[in-house]
Amino acid sequence: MEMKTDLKKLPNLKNVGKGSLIKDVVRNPMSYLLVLPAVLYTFIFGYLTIPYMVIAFQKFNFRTGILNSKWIGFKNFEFFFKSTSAATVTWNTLRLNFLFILFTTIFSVSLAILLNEIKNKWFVKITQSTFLFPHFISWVVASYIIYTLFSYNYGIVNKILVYFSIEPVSWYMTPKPWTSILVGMKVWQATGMSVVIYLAAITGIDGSMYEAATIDGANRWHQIRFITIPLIMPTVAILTLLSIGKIMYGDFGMIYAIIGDNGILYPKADVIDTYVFRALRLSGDPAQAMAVGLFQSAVGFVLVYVTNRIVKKKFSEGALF
Amino acid sequence: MNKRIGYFVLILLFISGILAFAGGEKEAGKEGPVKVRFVIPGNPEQDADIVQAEINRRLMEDGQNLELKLVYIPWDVWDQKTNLMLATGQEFELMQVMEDRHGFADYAAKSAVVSIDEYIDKYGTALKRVIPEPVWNAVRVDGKITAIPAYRQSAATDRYYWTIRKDLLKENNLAIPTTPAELLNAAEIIKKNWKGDGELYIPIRSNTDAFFFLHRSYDSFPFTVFQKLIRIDQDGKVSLWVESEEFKKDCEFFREAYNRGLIHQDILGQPNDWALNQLMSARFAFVPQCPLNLWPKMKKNNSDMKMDDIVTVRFNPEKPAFSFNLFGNDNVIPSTTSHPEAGVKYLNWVYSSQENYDLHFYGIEGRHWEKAPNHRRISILDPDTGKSNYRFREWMAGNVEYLRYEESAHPRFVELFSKTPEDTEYSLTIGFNFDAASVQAEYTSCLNEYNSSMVPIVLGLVDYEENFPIALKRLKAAGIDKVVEEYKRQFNDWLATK
Amino acid sequence: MKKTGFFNIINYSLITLFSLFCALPLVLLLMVSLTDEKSIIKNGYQFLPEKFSLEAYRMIFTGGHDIFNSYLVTIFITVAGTLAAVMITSMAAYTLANKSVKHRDTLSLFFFFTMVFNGGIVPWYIICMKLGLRNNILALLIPSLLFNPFNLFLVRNYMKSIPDSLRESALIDGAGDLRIAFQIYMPLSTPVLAAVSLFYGLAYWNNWWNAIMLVDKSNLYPLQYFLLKLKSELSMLTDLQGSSAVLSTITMPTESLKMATAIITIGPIILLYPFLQRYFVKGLMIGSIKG
Repeated sequence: MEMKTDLKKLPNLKNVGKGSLIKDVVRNPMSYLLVLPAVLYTFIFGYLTIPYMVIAFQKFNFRTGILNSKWIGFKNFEFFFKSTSAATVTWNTLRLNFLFILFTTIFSVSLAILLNEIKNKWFVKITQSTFLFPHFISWVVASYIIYTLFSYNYGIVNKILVYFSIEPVSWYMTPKPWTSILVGMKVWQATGMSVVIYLAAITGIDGSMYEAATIDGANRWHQIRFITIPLIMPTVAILTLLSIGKIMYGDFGMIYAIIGDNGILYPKADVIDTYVFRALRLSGDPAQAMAVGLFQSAVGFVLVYVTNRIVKKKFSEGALF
Repeated sequence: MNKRIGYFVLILLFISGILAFAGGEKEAGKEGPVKVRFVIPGNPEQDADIVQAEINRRLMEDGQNLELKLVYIPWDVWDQKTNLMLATGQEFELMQVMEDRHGFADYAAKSAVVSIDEYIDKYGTALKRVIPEPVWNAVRVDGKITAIPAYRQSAATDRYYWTIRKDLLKENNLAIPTTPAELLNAAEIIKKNWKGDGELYIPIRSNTDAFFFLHRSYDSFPFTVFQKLIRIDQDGKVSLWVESEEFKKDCEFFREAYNRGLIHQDILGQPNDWALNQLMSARFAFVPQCPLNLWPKMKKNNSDMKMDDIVTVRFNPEKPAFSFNLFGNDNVIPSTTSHPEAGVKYLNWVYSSQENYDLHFYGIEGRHWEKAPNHRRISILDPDTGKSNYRFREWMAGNVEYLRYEESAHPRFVELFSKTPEDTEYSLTIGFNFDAASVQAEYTSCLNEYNSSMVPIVLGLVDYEENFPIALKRLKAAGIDKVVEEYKRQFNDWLATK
Repeated sequence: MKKTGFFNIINYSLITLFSLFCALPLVLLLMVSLTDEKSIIKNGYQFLPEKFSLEAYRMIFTGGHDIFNSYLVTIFITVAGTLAAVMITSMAAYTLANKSVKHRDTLSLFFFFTMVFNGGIVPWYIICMKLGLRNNILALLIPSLLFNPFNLFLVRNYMKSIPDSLRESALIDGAGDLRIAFQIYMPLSTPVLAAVSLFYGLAYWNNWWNAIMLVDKSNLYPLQYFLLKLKSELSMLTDLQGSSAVLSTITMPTESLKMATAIITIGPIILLYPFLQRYFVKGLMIGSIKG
């Protein structure tokens, strides 16, 4: 199959020498022309902003620009790393994001596969549209809905519990279940978009493969297991790698809207971004914000780089770069 | 990857990046009146342009050589956009500062604003007249005036008061409580006999400041509490607020309140506007402070309510009033402007006469508002939308001297907010700004920990005896002692210079 | 055959379940937006409102022809922006999927790096100013929206799965990369391009940031800007600790108003999506190898 031959054809980048970039351009002028607009845009709006990140190491002063501000090394990082909460929020960020990636992937891949199996076009169209609805509901609005579910006295969840003679729970004062609640909310919100992506990938699978498999006697389940799933693994890999890049960035919008200032839930739900936001509400120092951001970016990037190398060795189709 | 080319490109882009940010944006000088770009939060009303045109016409007439331009920034992006404007050197002449977000001292520490003593002296005759000296002292950084305070309400205001529904008291044959214990009893009875919709919880927010309304009933009153953590007595003693007996009594009061069903179980998870909605429906037995500014809305939702039905009182009225906060908002001159005196001149003009003040805050007389007796006003609402077509929020830059309350405003509210009691005692901390920079990690950890483990105790959701020792231990682990020490040191140093 | 029937039942049920999980909150929103305000304060959110009211929608649309203009602006930038963005993205994706381009993985890294590292708002703003992206339609089209590396990788991945033999035979026939990209790869990539069009379209449709930061001419305000104005007063409440003296001056957006703004944002996209779905057609690849 395609994948195996590719592995051998893959050029070993270590052997690429001096001037090979120019050779490449000369050999593939049209391709480089095609990629030029994207490169320009990325250079301008991406790379040109990066020098500004040096303020993470400077004492921030509105008057002096980045050329004239005082350099203070890693001092801007202290407010975060010296605090007693740093470990908790970092762990929460990692843990929650990991679970978000895991469960969103499981749900969206499963749903995409299931949807693909359905013959009734209208059913597919309608349900697939509904999957997208949650994406449009802002977290602020979603937090009201969550409150309607988990409020102590009138919440739907407690009403159900009482109906089954179970003791109602004061949800907003109990940290433990919130990991699950947040994961559930994230799956609710993010699955729709991923289903779109996975469905597109499934649609792209060569239909003749399924035909051949049916001829060979494979049933639907076999076909899913041995054709569909392996062939969308590159997409799963790509999406996962892209998410890993952001794994140190908590979903601020979501957490802040749902948890807000409820300190009881901090041990389980507070993430780096919300903690920093509250910390900087008092001092408003952009350099400190940049310092933590730099930390989050650096760790994310290293994680992706390492993961990507591993993926590349085992399964080159799924590698990001 | 071709390393050489890579490095070369990297260096190139660093240079270009740095060059791109080296300079700021400065507009070329123009002839004509000096622009006063006033950056404020919110959104422009329909007639904002019309009123500004009128203001500018009047400025011309008065020979001021100034031109006002209100720059509105939506709330959602206030912090980001103002930071952006300051960081990129955008010129503007005046900026609103909300002390409970970032204070003027904070901006000053980052050189975002300039000190204005010379401009006040030269152009601020009206400013000096309507803002008393103690208030000016409260806006000094290193001895220099750094902001123009919005001195729009009485120095004492409402933190030490509380409000109760007298009509409900009467229904239950109760007298107005004079002690915290009586208050709890009364509230409980009222709640039990309440026949209307919903429950009568105390409409407070979970991130509320310390419960000052209880402090008057303590023998040690008056004392100041800073950021719910630090207590400063009038003799200069600095201590950890949560370790004090008074804090314990506050917690016990609310624990009692909770046990009697007066605290909403989900107060921590409530949407932010819950408390406000309760107040607007007048759905409460009592509430700290004074929500009578919402009286018009309360009346709208409860048409048979009378003004006397809601009373605002304080414990131990024989004790003097106490003030530790002279203003909540101010306006500053950003360092990006090339005309630092312009903002001062403009505000001075606004404060130089009632007509100017009226125009700036309320709009065009006859079109947006009308005079009413007792130095009040009536807003003229747009018949289509039911909203006001111009309104410069008073809390941003108002002043007691000229302030006109709405005609429908509750008289008690007006009384409380406009008159400073003669016997008012002032906190020792007025004018002192704590710089948390050297203990920042501990400070933010402590506020975080307070939120986590103290707030439930403060709101009465959990028992003090059981939970306080652990919470205190955690606070200490977060470094609270260091913060208190630093505050003490800075405070004493500052006291010594007075 | 019994197995297929059973499988179908499970399948339909699971999907329906998840679909309800997603759709019910929106239905609730819709109902709340149509509920009379007093009834909300009394009863909270309900699926069947005690009393109906179109007040929230009326409040939004009393903006008059300003709202109408903003709809036009939004539609224009969404359509034009999406077309341009998809074009740029698919062109670049071709190059990254092109096996002849030896440095394609380096290029991928080039794009990915900026997804993780970014200098933030301040340099972004300065760059926009220096490029003259201020108070004109380009300011609403280009910054932050015209290209997203995430979508690039999606398209690249999809194109990677297109058999090389197609390209090779086209080369033999004398076609250049340009023709191959536009006439072979892009048409074959319709499913992923449809997905990416949806993503870009949504990004343009929902964007209010560019308008707030870069525009102050009211005839350039997109729809989201108006909706933000209505909602933003509420944000102030989130931070407010001070006395309620301040609060009375806000035009309190009612519960129903909050919901109505959400519905208005969602409405058009819901109508658009089924239109895009036709591109998610199975079997597009059949016959391409033989061709």
